[in-house]
Amino acid sequence: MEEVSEYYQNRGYFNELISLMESGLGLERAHMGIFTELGVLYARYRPEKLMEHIKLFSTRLNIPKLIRACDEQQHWKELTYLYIQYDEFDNAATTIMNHSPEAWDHMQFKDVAVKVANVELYYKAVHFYLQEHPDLINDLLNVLALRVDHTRVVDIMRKVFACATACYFKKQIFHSLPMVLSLLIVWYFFVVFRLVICFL
Amino acid sequence: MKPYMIAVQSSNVSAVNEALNQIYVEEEDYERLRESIDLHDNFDQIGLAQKVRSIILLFLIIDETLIL
Repeated sequence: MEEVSEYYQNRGYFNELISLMESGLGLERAHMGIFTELGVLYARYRPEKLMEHIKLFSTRLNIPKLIRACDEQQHWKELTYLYIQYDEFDNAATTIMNHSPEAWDHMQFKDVAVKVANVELYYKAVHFYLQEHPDLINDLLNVLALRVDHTRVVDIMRKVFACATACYFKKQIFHSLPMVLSLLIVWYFFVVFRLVICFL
Repeated sequence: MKPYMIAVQSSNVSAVNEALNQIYVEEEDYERLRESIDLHDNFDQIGLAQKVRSIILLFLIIDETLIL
């Protein structure tokens, strides 16, 4: 099985290999390896078909192998789905937070967050939401309220807000810098003018 | 953040109480502030008193300048 796959891939016949595997799926007693191998091939050469394949055959895949393939090819959305299927919610949450532009989905993340075992990840999630989706933080905290330590959440909030305020004022100062400079120049000419008058 | 803090204030944690009181002071929502202080006693009472006192003084100064 692996040998056949490698043989085709080494010679560059990806399309032929994929159609071979797809015809293999139709067999009555199709082996688990075919589904897994086809998933790996989709991850490498047909990423648009990968999600559908995983959703259809999630029970018949060798998930750890496919997880490795998705990680390698950076399909974060599919990777999250596989972690959820494999009941590895800590890894799913970490993946979502590390690759939020692709993998983040609010409802999905809420479901995952409830099942996470590692307590540190709750605080990481709160921090992540404050940074990237502050409008939805209340929704997340409603779910997590029973599990988190409130003192620590308030601490995180204070830190993030202090940082945000500082950034805001820094920006304001940088915006007003040209104005300050021009005022200084005017003042300088004014002083020079008065000095000249005194000496005259 | 505020709805969450209001929801968990019933556990009477000092950090939550202080954060909420600070928000109420900043929003000048004195009715809520009074309610919060009455129901939840676990916070830095002297610190809040000093903060409120400074704000009252500020208001007095503003009033006097308006009169003058």
